[in-house]
Amino acid sequence: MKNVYIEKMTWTEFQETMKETDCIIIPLGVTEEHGPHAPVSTDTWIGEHCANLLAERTGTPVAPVMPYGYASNVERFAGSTSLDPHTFRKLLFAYCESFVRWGVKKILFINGHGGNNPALEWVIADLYEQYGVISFYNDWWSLIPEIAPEYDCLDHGGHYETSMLMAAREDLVNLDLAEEPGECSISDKIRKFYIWSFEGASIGINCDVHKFNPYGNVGNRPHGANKELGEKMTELYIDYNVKFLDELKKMPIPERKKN
Amino acid sequence: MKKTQINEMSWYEFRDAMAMNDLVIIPVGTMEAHGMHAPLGTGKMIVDTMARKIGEKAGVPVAPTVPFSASRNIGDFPGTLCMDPNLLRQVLVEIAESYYAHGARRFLYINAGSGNCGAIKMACSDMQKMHNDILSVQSEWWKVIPQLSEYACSGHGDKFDTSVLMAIDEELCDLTKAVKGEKEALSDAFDGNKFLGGSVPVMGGISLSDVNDTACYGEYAGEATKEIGEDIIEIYVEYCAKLCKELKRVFL
Repeated sequence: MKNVYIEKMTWTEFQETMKETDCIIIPLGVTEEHGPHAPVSTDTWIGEHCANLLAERTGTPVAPVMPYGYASNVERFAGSTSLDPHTFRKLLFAYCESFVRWGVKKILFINGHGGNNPALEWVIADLYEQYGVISFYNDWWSLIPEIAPEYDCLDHGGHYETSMLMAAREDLVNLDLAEEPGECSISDKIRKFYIWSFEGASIGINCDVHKFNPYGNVGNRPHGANKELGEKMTELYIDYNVKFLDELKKMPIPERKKN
Repeated sequence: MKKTQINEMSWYEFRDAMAMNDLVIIPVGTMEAHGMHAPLGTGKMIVDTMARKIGEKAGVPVAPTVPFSASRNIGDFPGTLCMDPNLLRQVLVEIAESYYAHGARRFLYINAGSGNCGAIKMACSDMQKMHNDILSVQSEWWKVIPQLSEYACSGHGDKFDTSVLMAIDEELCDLTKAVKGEKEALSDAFDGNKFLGGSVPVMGGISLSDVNDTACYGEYAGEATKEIGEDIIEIYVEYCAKLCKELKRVFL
């Protein structure tokens, strides 16, 4: 089978590959706490695993995973790291720009970490503005509930995320250490179950997770997470992205009306 | 009645307001094209009005509306102000810092534009990192309203934007210039911002003007009415006034 991993190509092989396609996949992760039972690189392992499967299914080149990102509000948990979001924006832009120089015009980011989204959206606009490159991102926990509502995916290091991780690296999970996430609230009516809500609508609350949750996992309890569930969800996510990538490859790059 | 608009207070009045209360509302506007039927200041005027009403109802000081925005995807339409989002983030941190220095500990951002969302979120995290005794909350009316009513606000310069604007001042828009069925997507494979049932965030980062000639999309603005707008404003103001009351109860 054709090698799709850019990190395993020589530069001449990469040059040949770019004669056949102008589209690549870039997986994104982060290094931050995911509860006592899961590794700090959970998002990186999941993002990389999904991106690799997608690359193999579609024959699309995949870049090495980005293991650092923007993670706010978890600084007080040991092992969590974060780049300033503007630093992350510049880093990711430079990473993409290098590939653009070798012919890439379309990028699909397989994002394993939601905190990356705002800075990632800036990068996507930067790439279009500067190079006319069209790039898209999606993440498994937003997409899967839309196409398969039986999986709510409302957790951080919980039932669904731990299962996704087990599909990638079962050996890194120790469910004996799993803790109840507990009820998160900052008042009687402002509560968090993965997302914050008040009186029937979600709101964007910003506060230190450690203040109300000493374990770090949020939302659905991790107990009962299993590899089979993770594999099923991974497959749903990959199936969708096979079609999306196929569409992206056909998609016309718009003509810029203004420079 | 006690003043709630900070730009109408003397510094004595502001000092006294902050002695009783540590919550400040910060409206973040947009100055961007909203179709040919609605003005560039649509986003700004909407949050001006909503924030003023929330402040009055909840008795909370309201900062002057941040009048510019990170409207990058709209940036190619004439008259649109388009700041780099990281600059907007820094501006918001410095505004919050200024009020923090004079007693503010709780901040409610009332945001007019999707291009501002990330900058506000980051500014809130920045403040959190610098001060452990604060609470920042971000709210977008067009995200709250569909959760509380049948109004599915998801366009730009659409029926709902236009209705709210009409509730503020009917003279501000000209419905005879409203157009139907404008594109927001890159190809016909998309249904709005959806692809095979899944939401596609940021449409390839494209400049809207490369696929759309009018700077509006979503439900037909020609069907906008003042009554819908008044309803939306009332629901949102009621909700945010209750939220303000709850935020003041949070132990920091």
